[in-house]
Amino acid sequence: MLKIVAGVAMLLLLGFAGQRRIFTKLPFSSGARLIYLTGTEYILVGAALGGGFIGILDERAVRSLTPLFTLGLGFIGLLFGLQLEMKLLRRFRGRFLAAALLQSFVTMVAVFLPFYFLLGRIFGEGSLEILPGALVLATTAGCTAQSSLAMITREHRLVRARVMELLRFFAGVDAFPALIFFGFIFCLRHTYSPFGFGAGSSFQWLFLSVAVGVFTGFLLHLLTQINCSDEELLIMVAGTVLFASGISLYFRLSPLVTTMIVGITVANLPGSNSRIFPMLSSIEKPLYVIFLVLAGAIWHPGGLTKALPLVALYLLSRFAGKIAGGYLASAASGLVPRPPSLLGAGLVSQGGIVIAMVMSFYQLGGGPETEIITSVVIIGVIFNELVAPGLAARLLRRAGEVD
Amino acid sequence: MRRIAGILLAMGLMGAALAGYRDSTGFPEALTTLTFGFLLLAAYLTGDILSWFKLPKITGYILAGILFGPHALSFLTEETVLDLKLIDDLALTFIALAAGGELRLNELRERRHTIVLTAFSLSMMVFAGVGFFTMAAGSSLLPFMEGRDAVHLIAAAAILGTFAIARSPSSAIAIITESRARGPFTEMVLGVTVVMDVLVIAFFAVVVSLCQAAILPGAVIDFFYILLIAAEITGSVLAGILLGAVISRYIAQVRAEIPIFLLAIAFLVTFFSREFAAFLGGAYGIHFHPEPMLICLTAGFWVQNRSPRGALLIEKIDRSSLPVFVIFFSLTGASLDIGVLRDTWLMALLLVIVRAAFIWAGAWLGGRIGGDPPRFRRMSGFGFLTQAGVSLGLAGIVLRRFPEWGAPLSAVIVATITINQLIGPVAFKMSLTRVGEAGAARSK
Repeated sequence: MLKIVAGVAMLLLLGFAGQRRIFTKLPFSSGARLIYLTGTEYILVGAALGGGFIGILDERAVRSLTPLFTLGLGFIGLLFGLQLEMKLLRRFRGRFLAAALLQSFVTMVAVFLPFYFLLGRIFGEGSLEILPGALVLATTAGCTAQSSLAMITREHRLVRARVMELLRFFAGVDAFPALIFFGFIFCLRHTYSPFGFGAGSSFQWLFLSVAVGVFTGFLLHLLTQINCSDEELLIMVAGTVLFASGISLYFRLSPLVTTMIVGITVANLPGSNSRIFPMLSSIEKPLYVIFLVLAGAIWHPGGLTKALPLVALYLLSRFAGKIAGGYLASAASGLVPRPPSLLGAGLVSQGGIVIAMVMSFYQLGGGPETEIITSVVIIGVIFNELVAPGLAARLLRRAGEVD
Repeated sequence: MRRIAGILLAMGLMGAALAGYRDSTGFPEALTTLTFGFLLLAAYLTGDILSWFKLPKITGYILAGILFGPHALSFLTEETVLDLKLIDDLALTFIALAAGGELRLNELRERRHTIVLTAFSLSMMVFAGVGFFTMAAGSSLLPFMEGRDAVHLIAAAAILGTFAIARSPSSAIAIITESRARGPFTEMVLGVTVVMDVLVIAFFAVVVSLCQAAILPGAVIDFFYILLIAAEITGSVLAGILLGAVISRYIAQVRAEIPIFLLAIAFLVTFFSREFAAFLGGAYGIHFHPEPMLICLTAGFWVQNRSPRGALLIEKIDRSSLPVFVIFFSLTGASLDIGVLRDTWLMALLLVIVRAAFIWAGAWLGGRIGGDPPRFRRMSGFGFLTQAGVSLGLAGIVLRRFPEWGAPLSAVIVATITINQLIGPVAFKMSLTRVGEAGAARSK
């Protein structure tokens, strides 16, 4: 009975938390508002509703709702992939893309190295066992979300905005290499080859992951050529995303990578993206909130005492990586005449795709280190969302682009 | 062509994935997700293909569920269908909210004489007609009654008669939404369907108690069971009113994130019903099951008629109705055990025909006394053929309460429901088109 009362209370809280007016009338910091706008607080709501606390979303319920969770995960991958339309990317010079990838890569290396050496000592495991964990931390660090930049655009008047444009481009594409590396982590777990060839079985699994994405992408393209309403289109997109994600999960691969490839395939075939992207954008928020609540319910925030020092290391090494990567990328490419030395400070926000990555890793299970790594990333994301708008605004003010 | 190519490509990918699978130990939810995604696509496309032939899409969803379900091509296993039960339940609560929201008090008031008369006339004629037919046919219709005395046959006839009364509000609302129907005929059919869906639960409790008292040695009429059912209905209605008040308040005060709020409501109702039943069963040994369908029907009705912003809720539900229907009816199809048709198809078919005949007669009589125009009277019988969830649940109770012949009778009932679930939507859509109310909601 207590569960029900608590659940109703939580429900009302969920509803009232949805009142934007609360956040617009009260003097919250831009970081707190960003957390609200991106819905990150719902992961904590989910954790409260989960088996560890109130227990409404217990293990059985979460298991039954796996398709809904996976749908949210798949939509995040699909939305990202849909943005990678070659026609649009070609508008930017090749140097932009190389700079974005360099920035992401430097950040990944900056996070990977300390964790690769440290995790083995903490968990007493060999270098091969801790490799996936270190890679997850590195790949999640490599991604940047556009949310803090979008918030600045909404709240400030921008002048010239060349640095802003650069930051936006970096944030738009730097998750691509991170996701591919992330997908590779799942392939490393397989001990046999999917096609029966002996050598390079991990690469064969990665190929399979991409192939599933391409085939289901073609399926979605075919279906979107049918004359239908937006509601019907939603069913076809949801069905295809679940189908592609399901195949990936079935082969113990990353659904995020597969659905990203679905998105890229659809975006680069004629005629589908113009309908799918606006439709998905209209349902993005509710679906994302449901995903976060379920992610929170799945997450068991275990080993927090071990996790907190690692969070500090994660935040510091990521920040250092972003600063170094941002500097190298902008200086080497000459994209902006006088690039700010701390360009990476505008790339701190991580957002939903990182939560999707770590929850996707967590979903397939693992030892206590998986729980700790997940906690590190989630707490890291929340912290980064808090500070990101302030840092980005300061950078842009110094560059003379914000009043 | 693209739809057929889509189904074939999805089937090919599905087949390849299942054939290439090696590790089955790790993550069973993966199979559930995969098959659920496939079912969504296949069901939607099948429904769309059937609509070329002017057939209702939900018939396509049900057919896809049957075809790819555990009893035919087995793309879905029985475990997968069970794993998806919660999603199925959530979809049902959405449908019930929508059905309640479609019942507008002012329109119902105008039609109350016809609704009451039709419900009464239908119940009496169908119960008596199917019951007497069963008794007259005896063991030639129900071979498992061979050698049993007349009391057993009367009991079985009464139970079959009761089942014949049961309707499916979920199918009715799906057809109404798909046809964008609106008008007095639509309102009357939905009103009668909802009223009878509630009444049949109470009626079933009385009939089962009487039959048990007549058959089982030393048994008396189980008044406690009847009271319990009455309490279940009353409790569910009261819970629905409370829920309706909460939803109304939310819509008036907050209005933000309504889809998330509704999903949370659906989950809470499902959770509440399950946990409350488990609590009473565990602590006091009482089998009290609040009806999520009835709770949400009442809540939807309350919001529509008591909240100034009820229309907003219905609009939000309507916008998400298509995915909900695809999920719900494809899973309904997948859970239908068509294997029982192999042994019972003749009995089931006869019962379907007799039931349909008495439904038509009962609806015609109700409409005649209530002063319906002739075109309504001719068509209204076709609106009441569908059967689904509640009937399947009650069939399970027959199985438990009558151990001697409950199992074969339950199989006949399930087979009858399966046929009615397939022909009912077709007949209802046809009747809406014939009376000219299909498409009326769009024009309004």
